[in-house]
Formats: sequence, structure tokens, C-alpha cells
Amino acid sequence: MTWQLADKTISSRMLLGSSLYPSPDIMREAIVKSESDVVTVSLRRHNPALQGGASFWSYLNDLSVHVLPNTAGCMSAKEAIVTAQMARELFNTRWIKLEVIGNDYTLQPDPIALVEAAKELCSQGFEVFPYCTEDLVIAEHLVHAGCRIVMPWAAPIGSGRGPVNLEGLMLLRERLKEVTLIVDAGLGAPSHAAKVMELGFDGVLLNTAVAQAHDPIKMASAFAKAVDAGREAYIAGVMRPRDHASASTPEVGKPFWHQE
Amino acid sequence: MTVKVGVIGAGICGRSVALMLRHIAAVSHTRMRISLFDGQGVGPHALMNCPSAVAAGMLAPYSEASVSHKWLIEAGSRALALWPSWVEQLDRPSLLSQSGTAVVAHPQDKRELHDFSDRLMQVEEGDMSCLAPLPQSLTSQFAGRFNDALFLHEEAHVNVPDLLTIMADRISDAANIDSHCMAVQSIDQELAVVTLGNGERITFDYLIDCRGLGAKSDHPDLRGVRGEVLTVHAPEVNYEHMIRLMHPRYCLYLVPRPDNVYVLGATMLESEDKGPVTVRSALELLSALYSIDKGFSEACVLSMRAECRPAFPDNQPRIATFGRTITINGLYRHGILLSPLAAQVASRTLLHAIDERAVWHKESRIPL
Repeated sequence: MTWQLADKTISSRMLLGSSLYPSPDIMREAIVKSESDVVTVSLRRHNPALQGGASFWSYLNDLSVHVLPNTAGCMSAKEAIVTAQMARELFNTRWIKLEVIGNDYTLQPDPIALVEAAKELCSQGFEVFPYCTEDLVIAEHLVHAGCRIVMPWAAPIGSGRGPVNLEGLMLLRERLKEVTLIVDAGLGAPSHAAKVMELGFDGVLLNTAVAQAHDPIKMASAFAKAVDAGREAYIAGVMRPRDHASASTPEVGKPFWHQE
Repeated sequence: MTVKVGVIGAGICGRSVALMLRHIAAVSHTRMRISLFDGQGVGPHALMNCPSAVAAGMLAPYSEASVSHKWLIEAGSRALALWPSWVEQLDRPSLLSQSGTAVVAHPQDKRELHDFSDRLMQVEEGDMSCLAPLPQSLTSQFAGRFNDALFLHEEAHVNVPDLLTIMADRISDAANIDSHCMAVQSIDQELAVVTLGNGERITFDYLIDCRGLGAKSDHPDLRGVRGEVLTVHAPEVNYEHMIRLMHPRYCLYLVPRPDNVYVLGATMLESEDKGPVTVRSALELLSALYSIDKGFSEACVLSMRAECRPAFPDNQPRIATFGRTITINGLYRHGILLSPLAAQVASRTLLHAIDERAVWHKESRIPL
């Protein structure tokens, strides 16, 4: 089933990163296997002014995917804005995955600089995909800045811990009903992806969990199935947990009103 | 009859091919004249512009399990086994240090070490004979910092600038190798014709193309992967073993050279930019270095160099035959390790072709 991501109609709810694979060939096969329509690409450290990464980026050309350039590695709003502008020229897209890192070791986003950069980039006509924490107030600021999409983390980038604050993610989903919410970063296992999709998130964005798996191609496939399963479960309506066991068929001879 | 062979490119691969070919031809009593072409020549000044000279010289196929696949451990361990006889053949056994690699991680990054161990176990299919207890000298040097280090005892390292210099000497000494300091504009693989930068055309019986990224126009899927390497002099620090530091984002290795000189590298950036080392890369490499041993704080930075390694989309080397030409390319970050093996495979293939008077009518790949 198709869905609307910004101005594009796409099929897959799994967005995939293009870093850290053992080889470009394996990256390409993993993307194909994942059936992802959107692939993120970093350019900050590839000397974009001289198109240093052009050979590598060309490997994505024949995959018919939408490229979502990112500002990975940027530590300030100014740096992120300049990188976004370069990305727009290089990839001929107004999409930008906005990352402004506040802590170089944990790769935790800097929420204040992020909002500042998002505001500026939205005013310049970019479709901003901001990477943030699960903080509701920051997400609301991003929406006010003009973002139609918000990408909260499940856990720090590359940690593979899965959603560490489910309540926070659930609150985001509940409060930002009109916003496209994509869980970005921190998912380690396909079950993590299924879990957040069951909560009604619109998609997930993955990189390390697939690229660094012993078999990235198989892992891409595993995640794709989990994302589909989670989405289907959300649409089907996941039952609410109950405090006590409840037999699905009444026991013979004991009408339910006697089972106290 | 004397067979005329042109070897194009005089990096580690071209030099190895010229010398290996000469050796194998001599053993099989094949009369051969080898012409080695490179725009920089092979002399000392060539080292400044030779991408191979930037390499740290790790002969470390098992350590590479963190970033590579099973094929490298398989081919790399065969290449590693060739090195002792290769340096004997070059008449300089001291170029090779068979002192092993310590793989370490800081306590907060312990997971990286476990991941590495899992990956090694997977590619080695449970055979962990490549691991040995940490040598006593390292146990005391690492005390309190790296308590869970792994030790890959079979790995070795080679002093690359000395290796390239010795190879240049052996090439100069060889009566049947002519080294030409001339740039090659293009080659005709079918006819074994070399067109030089000045337009002169020279015909050979066979060619071996070792140009790396210089042959990019012949290999549309070849790309450059940037690597940055620093060399430091640290009189207060004494390590004789290679050290590989595992980190969530960086993978640093430290290779000792004589007189307390250490080479540390290398970034791995999907970029063909050959510009100078960036501040960020220098910070990453030097911070990681300092974190290995505080004794590096007063080290002097001798050089910072960046180069691009040629790689195909599968990151695996490619040896192929077509017409009258053998091409070797895509050695990526394993150029030094694999060079004697690639040279041996190419030389044997060529000698066989000479015996059979063969011409390869369609391109075929030769496994390493």
C-alpha cells in the first residue's frame, strides 16, 4: 500500500542509510532487499564542494530511490544550513535530513540549534526531516518552524538499544496526529522496528543495524518484514494489555458471570 | 626469443609485479625484458607522490574482519604467508616485523570488541587459532586501561617507505628491467600498445596494468576511497606490536616503525578528494592516539597525508585478462598486504600465456 511522504507517494515505510556497509555492492543489494524508496546520504565529510563523493553517490543512481541527503557531522546550525544548501545543488532535491549534533561522542542532537536551523531551512523552501529526541516540546517547536515531518530517536545513534522511552514516543504520536513521524536512530533489532510501527509511527529510518549486521542483505529483509508487520498490526488494532488472564473461550459449565 | 613486457604504474603493485615477474621468468628460464612506466619514476622523489607510500603497512587480514569479509581473511592469510619469502627475495628480511596486533577498546566501548570477536568467529567459522594470549610486555603496558585486549599473533607489518626504496634499488640493479619516468596516456589492451604522455607509442608482447586510479577511464566502476594517515615521533612510548583501537565510529590502528616512530590511520571516507588532512580527521586520529597512551601527548607530528585507494563496488581486488593485457586493480585498503600475492598470480598467468602464446579474446577474471 502506498503512502505520502512529503510530496512523494511511496510504498515502503522503511528508510535506509547508506553508510557503514562492507562494500557499495552489499549496500545496493541491501537497499534492493529492503524495498526502501528513500535512502539517506551523507556528504559533510566527502568534500561536497569538489563533489568528492560523486563516484560513491553514483552507485545509488540506478536504484530508482529518492535520495534524502543528510547533514550528519554538523555541529552547528550554520554548518547544517550550508551543508543543506550544498546538498540541494548536488542532489537536485529540496529534501534534507537535518542533523545538528550537540555531543560528538553520543551523537545526541542539539535541540536548540536544530530548531534554529529547521526554521531557516523551511523558510528557504526545504522539506526538512529533523532528527531529534522524543521530547514533545522540541517536536512542537519543529512543527511550528514549518516541519511536516519529525524524526525522533528511539535511542542514541548506533546504540541499537531499541525504544528506551516508549511513553515519550506514544505521547508524540498521540499529540502530533497530523505530522509524519519517523523513528530515526537507535533501532537494533527488527522487533524494535515492529514495536514502534505498532504504535502508529509512519516509518522508521535505519542504518547501523542493517549495515553492520553479519549479513546486511538478510537483515534488510528482516527489518522490511518487521516494519510491514508492525504497520499491519497498527491498522488491525493491537489489543490493549489486561491485568488478568482472560480465556478466549468460556470454560464448560462455568458461565462467565460466575468467573469472578 | 626475448619477451617484451610493459608494466604500467610503479606503486607497490607495479614494483612487486616487475620484481616477481623477473624472478618467476628467471626460474622458468624465460628470456624477458620488462619496461616499468610511471610518471613519477621509482626514485626517492617518487615516494612523495606515490599513494602506496602513505600506507601504514599492516599485514593484518584478521584485524580487517571488522571492516571486510571472509574473502579477505582467506586471500589475506595466503598473502601474509608469502611475505617472509618475499622479503628474503628482496634481500631485506628486516623489512618485516612479525609481532602481531593487539585489538583493544576502552571500557565504555567494550561492545565493539565483542562485536569484533563475534565477527571474527563468524568468518573463521569458529576456528579462533588466530588468537593468542596477550604478550607480557603489552599486558603491563595496557594495565588498568585495556584489560580485555585480543591478540592476533600471526599478523605482521612492513616498513613501507623502506620497502618501496628497496624495491626501487632492486629494479635499478636488475639488468632486464628498465624503469621509465614517463607518464602513460593510454594503453591498448588488445594490442599491448602503450601511448606515452608525449604521444609516443610503444608495442609490447604483453602488458600488466597496475595504474590504480590512474586507470579509471578504463574502469567506470572504479572509485577512490580517501584515507588519512599521520606519522608521529614519540620518544616516550615503546610499542613493538600493532594496536587496533575499536570505537563506535572510528577504527584507528597504530603501526610502529623504527626509532619510536608510529604511523596511525586511517580514516575511510567515500570521497575522491586528495586534499590535505582535515582538522576533524586530525582531531579524531590524534584523540584516539592520545587515548591509547598518554605518553603520546608530547609526540611530534612528522607528517599528515591523505590519499585515495582504488576500489571496485564489491571492495575486492580484480585481476583480469583481456587481449594481451593483465590488469590488477581495486586493491583498496589491502594493497600492501595483497601485493605479493597479486603479483604472483599475475606473473604466473603471464608466464603460462607466454608458453601457450596465448591471447585472451574475451575478458576473464582470475581469482586471487
